[in-house]
Amino acid sequence: MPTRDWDLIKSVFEKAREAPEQDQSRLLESLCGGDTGLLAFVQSLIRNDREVSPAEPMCRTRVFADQNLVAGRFRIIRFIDQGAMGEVYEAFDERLHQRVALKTVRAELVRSPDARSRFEREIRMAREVTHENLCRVFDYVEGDGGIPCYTMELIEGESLASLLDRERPLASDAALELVRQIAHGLDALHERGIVHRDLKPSNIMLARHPQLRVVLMDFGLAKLLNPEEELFQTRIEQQMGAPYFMAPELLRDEQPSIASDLYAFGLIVDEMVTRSRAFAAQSLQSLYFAKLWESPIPPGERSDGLPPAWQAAILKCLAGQPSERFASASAFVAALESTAPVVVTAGKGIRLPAWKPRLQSVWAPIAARPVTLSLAGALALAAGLAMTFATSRAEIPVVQVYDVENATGDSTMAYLCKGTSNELIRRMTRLEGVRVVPMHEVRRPGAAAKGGAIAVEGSLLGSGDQLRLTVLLTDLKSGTVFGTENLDAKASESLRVENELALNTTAKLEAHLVSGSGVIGSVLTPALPSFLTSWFRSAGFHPQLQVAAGPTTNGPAFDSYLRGRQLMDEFTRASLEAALPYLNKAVELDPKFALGYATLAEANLSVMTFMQTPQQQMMDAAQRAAGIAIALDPQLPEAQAAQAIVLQVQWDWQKAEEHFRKALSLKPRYPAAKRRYAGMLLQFGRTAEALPLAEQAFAEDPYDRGAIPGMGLYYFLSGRIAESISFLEAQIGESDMQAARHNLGDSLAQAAIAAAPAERARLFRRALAQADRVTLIESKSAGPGGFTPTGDEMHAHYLTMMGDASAAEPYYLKMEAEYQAGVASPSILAWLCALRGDKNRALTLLEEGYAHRDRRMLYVKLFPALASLHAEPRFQAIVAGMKL
Amino acid sequence: MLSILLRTVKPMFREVSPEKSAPGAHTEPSDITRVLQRWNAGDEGARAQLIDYMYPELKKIAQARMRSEREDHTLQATALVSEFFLQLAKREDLVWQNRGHFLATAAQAMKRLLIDHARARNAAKRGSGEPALTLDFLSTDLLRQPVDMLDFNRYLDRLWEEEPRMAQIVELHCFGGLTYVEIAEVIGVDAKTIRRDWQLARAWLVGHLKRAD
Repeated sequence: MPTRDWDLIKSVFEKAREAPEQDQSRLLESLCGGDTGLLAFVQSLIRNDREVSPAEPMCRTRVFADQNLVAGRFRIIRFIDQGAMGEVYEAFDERLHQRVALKTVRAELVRSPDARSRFEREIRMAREVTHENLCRVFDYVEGDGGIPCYTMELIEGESLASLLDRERPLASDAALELVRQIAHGLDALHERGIVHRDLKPSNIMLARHPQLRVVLMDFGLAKLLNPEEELFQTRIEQQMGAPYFMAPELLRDEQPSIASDLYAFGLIVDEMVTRSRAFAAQSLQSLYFAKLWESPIPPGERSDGLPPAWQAAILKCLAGQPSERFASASAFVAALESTAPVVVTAGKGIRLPAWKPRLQSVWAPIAARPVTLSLAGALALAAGLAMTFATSRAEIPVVQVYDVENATGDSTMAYLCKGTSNELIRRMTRLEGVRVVPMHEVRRPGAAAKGGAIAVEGSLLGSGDQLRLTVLLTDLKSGTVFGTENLDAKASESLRVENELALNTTAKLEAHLVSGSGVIGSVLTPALPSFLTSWFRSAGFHPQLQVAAGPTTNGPAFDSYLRGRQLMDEFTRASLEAALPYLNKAVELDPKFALGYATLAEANLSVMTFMQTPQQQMMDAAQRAAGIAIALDPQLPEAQAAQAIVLQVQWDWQKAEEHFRKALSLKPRYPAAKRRYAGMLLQFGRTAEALPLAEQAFAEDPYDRGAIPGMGLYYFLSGRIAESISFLEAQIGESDMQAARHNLGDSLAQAAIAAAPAERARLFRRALAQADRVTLIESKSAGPGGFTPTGDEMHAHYLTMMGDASAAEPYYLKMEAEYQAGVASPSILAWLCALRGDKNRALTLLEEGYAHRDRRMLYVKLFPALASLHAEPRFQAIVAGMKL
Repeated sequence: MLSILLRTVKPMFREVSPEKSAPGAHTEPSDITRVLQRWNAGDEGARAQLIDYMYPELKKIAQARMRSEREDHTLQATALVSEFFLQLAKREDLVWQNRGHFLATAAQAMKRLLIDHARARNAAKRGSGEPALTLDFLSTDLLRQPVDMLDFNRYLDRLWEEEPRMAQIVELHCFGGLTYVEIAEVIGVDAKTIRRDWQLARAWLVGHLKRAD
């Protein structure tokens, strides 16, 4: 039971407490109106209250005093600030005569020797990173008593936190410059595989002289806090406000990632442009609750006139699932920058201003009353969405990536051009919701008009060590350039060129696409019922845009890889042999370069194709390289594919298939792997699976060197000769395409055999015309000896098939010479011998090809030329040996 | 404001090992989900059971921290609750629908823990090596020693009899780490009133504790 009148006490206490001290006793007396008991009681409460009310915080003792000399080298000038990790001083480096910032690390954070050495290692690693928007870390030093410290660049300016305390909200265009620079810094970190982990306004410095420069501080160091020591963090963080910027997955102890940095980045941008915070929580506990179980308050509700693109982009950063956020900081910025509405044509001739507002309007009334949503309503909604998606799916934009033009006049720079295009393709194919079509080598007039929506073109200018790469992104429908990317670099910086240029360009492309489509993933999906979400996905719509990290961080290794890759693509014996040393060097420079190993495995196998004698050494090298590639990175599709082709020539089909499948599940758009897998399926009569796969591969990359001949070959091998002919003729047109013409000739000759006599002569003439053309092409680039093996093979084959043995004879003799010279493989000659009826020779050559693991042997059962051998026990032995 | 975000309930539970559980904490994990559902559905009786569940978890955290805190010999209650909260956050099987409910329940579990700890500590006399727990909202120069939790609880009980709302505010603030605004949400009074009540309650408690000291 109450012994006092608390309502009265409260009212007196409150009034007296808020009164100026000198008036207090007089006021109290009048309020108590002669009740001395009450007066004494409230007086004692007021006294107690005064004593417990927060006093001036005690002055902490600082680690260093002014003028202290730290580590015999750094003279302390002044104390600057105190942070979560320790204190910051301005110091003078007496050895290098420059001012630096010296940061101490609280001893309890690095108590164990292990923690200390970890810390040292981190500092050494951070020291390697230099970027305009990152604070340079100089060195690890120890102060008196072993206090761990590190020195870094002294940034003179204020923190973003103090700017926001003073000026908030910033107008979106004013914020943009800051945001851009933060993004550059973050991208530079992420490209090196470093996660900042502690991005927050107080860790972002703004230096204003000579021009505005935004600098990120303390990257990657937050992880130094020991797991058990993180227990202490709650208190520290409370003071720093850092948990507000922590991504929800970090609260669940998941690994920090680029995505968690992007989450923090999104909250920072949100804080810049709104007047309040996205999570209304005051205590740490409530904050955790809000982050884990509640949605952020949309920035548009907390800010007037925020551009819709900003709201959408910020919310995408704040997605609960890391995978639903942007793939890179620059992609986020590009989304903020893009304001152009995308117009999508809907069915029934209605033009809608993009389907983003439409979806919102469809969703909004239902979102407002989720409880009353009936099944019928849901179905109607789903139907509405289905219509919208049908439209948008039909319009999946095709991005055509042309080879970067070498405008330097220096043909040795070709590898850099090729490498840049390949890197652009590699990154862009990871974007969902677009179809990337590489336009290798061919710049055929009118090619761009074929369904292309966006063209990516580039050129390399300059000479010697001063190079400029420019890439243009063009919207082919409107004919407008919506993005350009320039990069000045030295030839030796190929890694940076590939990474920065390709990353930035891809980010711009992503932003261009997201400005119309990404919104659904960020704004609507989190609130959607699961049946709709899964339906979205089954409808092929998932707006996670993922860009893979670079394949290596070692510049020289990457450069060497690019040179090797370029030579490999020429696919001649000489170029393949020349590629091997480059690829070997690449993996020697970076022994963790999985893609390098995968490519090395493929190069070794390709060289073997040209060899006359068994090359166990190369087989072993290929096997070893593929093994390392897959051990280093089992998630690398190229490693899986390399392993598959190694297994193929070991005749381990089942395992090869597993690896092909794995490669394709990792990278669904991987035409080269699809083609090879399709080829393998053909051998087992799985034509129904193989052809659609080959067709997909062709559709995905029609301009790849192997795409057209491959498709033609598969039609040919599956007995669809007429299709092979019409396909190849349509694709070849007037271009050279040696391999495609070879397959066209074979198809024509095969068709001739089955045709009526009048038609037969005409078809053979057409086949021979292809042989002539191929000979001409080969002679243009023939090396010493002037061999034209493919043309000779074609002539010999077709003439033999026609029954004109005397005309075929000289070509046969040339092939024998080419075989002896090591220009033609044994299996090629075996084909001809079989046609000539020389079964013994054919079988001997096939056995040789089998021992060499000649890749042409893969189709040994399928080539019609060898049909006459099928009953031979020696042939059957080969087939059995190959486990076919 | 305290919006509802449904999450998928996954059958994924951490084992609560019996030897580490405190008396009364025999709740099976699957029961916890059911209790939570009942509470979320408005069954206030489920609350006591929830505290039974939270208690051993909280105790584990406290023990872990006490081991690492020997140098200071003090431990802040709110830091424990934050830590506790993070532990709960990792459990995706628990669906909390109401922030205030959760915090209030955690505060009660915390209070029980602090009192039990103080009892054990007193029983072992000083020098047992067990750190004292402090309430950071009350530790001032005025109270040179850490607050005696048993004294504190005795006065808090008296405050319950005198003015329940003030006692509830103290409990939420000292044991749950809730701010004025959050307490205002939990008990449905405006924040300014909460602040006034807290200041008064604090002055009253400090006066009693000072005398006891």
